Amino acid sequence: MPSLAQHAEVLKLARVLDLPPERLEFLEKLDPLAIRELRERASAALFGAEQGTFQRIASASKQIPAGLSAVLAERAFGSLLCARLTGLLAPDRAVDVARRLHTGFLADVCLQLDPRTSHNVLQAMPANRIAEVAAELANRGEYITMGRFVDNISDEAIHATAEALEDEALLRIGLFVENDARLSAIMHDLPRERLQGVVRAAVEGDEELWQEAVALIQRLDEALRRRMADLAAEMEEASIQRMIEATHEQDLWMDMLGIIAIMNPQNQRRLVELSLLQEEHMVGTVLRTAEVHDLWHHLLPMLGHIEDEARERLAGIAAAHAPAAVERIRSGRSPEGAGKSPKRRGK
Amino acid sequence: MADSRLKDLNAELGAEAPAALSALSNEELAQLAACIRQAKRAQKDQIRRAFDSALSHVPFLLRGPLKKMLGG
Repeated sequence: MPSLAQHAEVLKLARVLDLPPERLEFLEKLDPLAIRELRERASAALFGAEQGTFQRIASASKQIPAGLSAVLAERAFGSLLCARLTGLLAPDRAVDVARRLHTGFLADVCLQLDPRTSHNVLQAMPANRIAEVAAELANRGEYITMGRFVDNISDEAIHATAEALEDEALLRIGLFVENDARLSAIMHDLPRERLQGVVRAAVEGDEELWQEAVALIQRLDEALRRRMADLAAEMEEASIQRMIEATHEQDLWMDMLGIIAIMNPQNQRRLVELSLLQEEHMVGTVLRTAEVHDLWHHLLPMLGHIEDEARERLAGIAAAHAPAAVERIRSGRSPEGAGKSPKRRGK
Repeated sequence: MADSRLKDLNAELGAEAPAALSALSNEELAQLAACIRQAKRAQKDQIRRAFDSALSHVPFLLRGPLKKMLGG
């Protein structure tokens, strides 16, 4: 089964080629970086075509008032031609025309724009205009497109856009942001309540959203991973139960153990008390996951938060589900060498 | 055979395909090249249509400036 990153890259390539993603499914076995490189080359091949003609139009357009250019853009050229022209215009000129265009039309242009070749124009675009277009794109569910723009718009535009969007939209865009460092930097700047909203949206969203959010958390820098992990643990009890159930149903314990392990001890204790010890089959799965993937270094410190009686119950469950774990649970010690080089699932 | 499929793909891209694509089968390489060829053709048609539309569907008063922009 392809990872989210592989699937996302195929979706982006399909968008560039204007083809149904199913026609490119066979690429999902490739490394996401290879699919991204392929997209960049395909995009260059497409955007390089008829460059001379577009250059001529861009030059000629300087002689026409911006108001008239805007009329021509919407009535005559359409979104595809405007997308191709955008990167060839002087940023000030592009901004002057863009402010006269309808938001819906600008959203259409964004769908066909190569953000990298239009970087200077996007940087010059007023933050509020970008936020208006982003809101339109979010209404259309165009999160892939929005993710591609994040690297190319200013921090001010990012802030204005974040303010204009719902928490769930922020999460869904984050899944498609290409630069992990940029993603972390943006999320560091979000106020606590927005981050909390993003976590809650992940837990309360559809089944796949939690899985995708867990993958997203793995891409963040360590400080932010800790922050997100603690915010997850600080949700109300019903949300925590839902999070744990979603983790179990989607077989995400391997990643989730790593997330729980970086929560502060108080939050770990809360999580263990609220959920982990409630269901025997769930505890069994957690123990098996720790055993199979050599994740005792994550799990054993958490066991320090439970009473002897609960620990003994855990050892009893382990006897049925992961016999090799019984002694480790009773002693609370990681076996020699365990956890120094945890095996990771390929993502 | 794989080399010739890869050459076809490189020709469509106008650049060398990423090395990791050598993991694809001949059929998959051919399919990918066909997809890119189709996308290029579709875009070319779209651009032509947009130019034609630009010249024929704008109000009379706008045709002069538009022709000027298109270099006509």
